[in-house]
Amino acid sequence: MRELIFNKRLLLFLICITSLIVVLVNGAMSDSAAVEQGFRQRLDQVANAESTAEDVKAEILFGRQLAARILGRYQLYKDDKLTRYINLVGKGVAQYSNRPELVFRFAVLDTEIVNAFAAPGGYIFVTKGALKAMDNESELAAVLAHEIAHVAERHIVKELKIKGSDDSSTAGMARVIGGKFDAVRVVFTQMVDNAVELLMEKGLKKQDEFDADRIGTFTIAGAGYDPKALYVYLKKISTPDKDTNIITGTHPSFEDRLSKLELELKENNLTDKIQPVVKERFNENIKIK
Amino acid sequence: MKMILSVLSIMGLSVMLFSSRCEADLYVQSVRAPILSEPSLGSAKVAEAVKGEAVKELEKSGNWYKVGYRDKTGWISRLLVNSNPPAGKVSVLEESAEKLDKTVRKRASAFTTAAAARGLAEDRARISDKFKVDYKSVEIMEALNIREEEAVRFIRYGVEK
Repeated sequence: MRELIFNKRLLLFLICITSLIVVLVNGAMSDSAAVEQGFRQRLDQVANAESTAEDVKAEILFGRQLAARILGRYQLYKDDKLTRYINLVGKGVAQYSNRPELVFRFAVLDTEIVNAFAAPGGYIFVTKGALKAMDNESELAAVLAHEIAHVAERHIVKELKIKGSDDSSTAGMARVIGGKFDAVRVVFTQMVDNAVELLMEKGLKKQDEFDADRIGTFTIAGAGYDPKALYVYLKKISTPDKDTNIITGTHPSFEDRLSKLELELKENNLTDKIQPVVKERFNENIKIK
Repeated sequence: MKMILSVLSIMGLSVMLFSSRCEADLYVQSVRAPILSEPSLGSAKVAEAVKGEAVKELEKSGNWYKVGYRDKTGWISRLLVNSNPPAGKVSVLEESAEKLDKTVRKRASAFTTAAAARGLAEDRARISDKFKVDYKSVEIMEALNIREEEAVRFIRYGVEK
């Protein structure tokens, strides 16, 4: 009997020691991992870290509202062959980014201004004016990749500072969209209006534009296009002839963007990396009056 | 004696199990993710992982992770990986289709129907007249369905020609 009690005490003692060792070992090893995890979560932006399907649905529905307003301001340019081509290039490039849960959609806007827009959830627009300024498919891919990066990094969502109780940018939006009262609808519509102003008039934060330039360039390089394409395109449209109508109010100065991009290309050994520009197929598909 | 040995085995196993958490898995999100010899896009490719595959994180440097992939070691851009496996497509359609209220009119586009089911149809959403809206054109955008595999093949055909 005494032996039995002794064994049970010994067992209990050893279990406690085991637990202690496990906790200590885990704690010691995860101290640096915890710091690392915290850094990674900050670096990964809000959305990439543990975004739920509800968050993404909210993002899509919000983006759809914004898309309707973009198309309300600039009409849809209807050309089936051209639209299909833009979607093939855009969707293909999007597969080299990190939002596999989104369906990206692309449309051409019937305006001579040289610009492109991205709405959350994957609604991407490029203007007729921008297409006319391009010389090859790698430049098209680069512009679309820049816009895809805005969506992938949730720039608009974050800039609207929509915060939920768990500090996720889209959790608040999901609550608003799921809300059942008219007051909530007003809030939602106000959010959409703010987003339109941001996109069309004020512009996103400079850093977001620089990030989209960098990420867009990396994306097209990964897809196999000429890594310098965005740099070349921006340089080209920064010296417009009298016939082009460029709006730079929504972006940082070309000088800043070009110098940052030049540095990124250099630091990543991409300046001399030769990859195709794909000109022939571009010319076959882009025929705009 | 047997009891002590059993407990010691459990202790050893627990330590091993918990220590294996230090080498975290990262999952590839993009259709293809090059693994490079150095943390620089212009460096040589040592391998290429595909969407959904796991790589073992060994080290972090700026925007790059040093990873183990199969029998190779190299660097992968943090833009292409996530600590969770890639999510399947998120659609606003399925849930709304089930919860469609009888009063919601069926519309040409399933997306508009889905939005309507959540009370976000254009007529009810137009509390503000600040901006003109065009949902018909949004529906035209949404009607074009191109499979991602086709789009990836299209790109690869263009750049590998």
